[in-house]
Amino acid sequence: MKGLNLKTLLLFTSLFLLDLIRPLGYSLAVEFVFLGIIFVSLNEDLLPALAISAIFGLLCDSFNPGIKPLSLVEFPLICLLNHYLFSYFRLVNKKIQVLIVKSSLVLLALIIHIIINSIHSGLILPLFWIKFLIQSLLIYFSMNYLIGKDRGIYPFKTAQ
Amino acid sequence: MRLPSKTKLKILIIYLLVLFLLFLPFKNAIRNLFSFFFHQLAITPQKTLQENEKLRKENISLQIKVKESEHLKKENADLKEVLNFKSDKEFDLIGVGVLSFSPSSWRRYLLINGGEDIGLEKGLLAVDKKGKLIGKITEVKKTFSHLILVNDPNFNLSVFVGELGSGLLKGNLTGAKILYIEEDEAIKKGDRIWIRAGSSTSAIEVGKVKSIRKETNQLFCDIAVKLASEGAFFDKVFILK
Repeated sequence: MKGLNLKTLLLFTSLFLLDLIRPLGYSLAVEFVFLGIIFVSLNEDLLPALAISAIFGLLCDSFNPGIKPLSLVEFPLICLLNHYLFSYFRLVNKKIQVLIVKSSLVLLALIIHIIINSIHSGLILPLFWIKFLIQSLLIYFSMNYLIGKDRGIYPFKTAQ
Repeated sequence: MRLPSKTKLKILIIYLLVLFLLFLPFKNAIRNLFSFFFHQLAITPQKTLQENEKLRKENISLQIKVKESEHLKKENADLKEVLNFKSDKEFDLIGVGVLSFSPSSWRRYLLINGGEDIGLEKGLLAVDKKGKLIGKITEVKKTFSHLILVNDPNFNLSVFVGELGSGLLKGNLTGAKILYIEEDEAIKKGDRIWIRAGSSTSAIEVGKVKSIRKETNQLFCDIAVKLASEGAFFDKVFILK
């Protein structure tokens, strides 16, 4: 498959390890693998991104207690949604700022993730949601800034 | 043979460079040797005498303290025997390392390094190094186990509140709450929440009552709990057996 290279797999393995080790414990409410899924869905081809989402969704489920394959279903769906929405926005308006579209899609994906998990756990925790959103956005943009450059992804570039 | 001055200079520089490179690994040793000699020269015999005197005094005072603590220890053991105190060690503590955390931010689970091989069982409670409750074992495999933390949404445990009350502790990610406590149970803010591990008489601290709320149409009070084990990160946990 084009794009499913060793570099991406290594990146995801590191993100998954970060999720398991949690260097700052539960004080950091961030899911690194989920942020990686958002990143590949906006920057990679659809098939490799879907494959990565399914593989790491399954891995996350195997480390989460319970038998419901929540991540295995959620990750590929969010990947698919993000990829199509990004292609759609670029198609309808070619002058649109890539950064604005990408940021909106990241926010949308995070909100969907919050809704799904809140329904699943049956908890309404606005403060926790805000913490999750802020920390995730900060880490996503740092990640995008650090690893986006060598793939030719410039956050401030206008779509051609 | 006479060498021209430029060549001589070059040879000298190379010679110095080689010398420098040869002595580079011994840089620290040379520095230490130098500081040692310097230190030895700086210390005057009078200072040594003063230091000796001070150490002698400290030694005597420590010997007195050791004797005193030995006496207290003996007295304590005697008193315990007389009053038929139960030994503090009513349960075994098994220390296990944490292998990983749950990758989801909506769960509070740990994977711990021990299972059937070290005699762990489902339902055993876990405490931190200060003896505060942090969770219980939900699944045991041959070499590892799942430990659910107190603040996980799926955590449930029957607890005592204050002196008389009891209810069901349930986690909610940011802390925990107590369910099924009626208004007439006289629970007040700051009351301690505790449990008994197995048949032991020792109380294990869970937390304190943070706030109590009662809606007009509600049958039970809404009690928020401030957990005693506030640590968000664990590298080792202790299982009560």
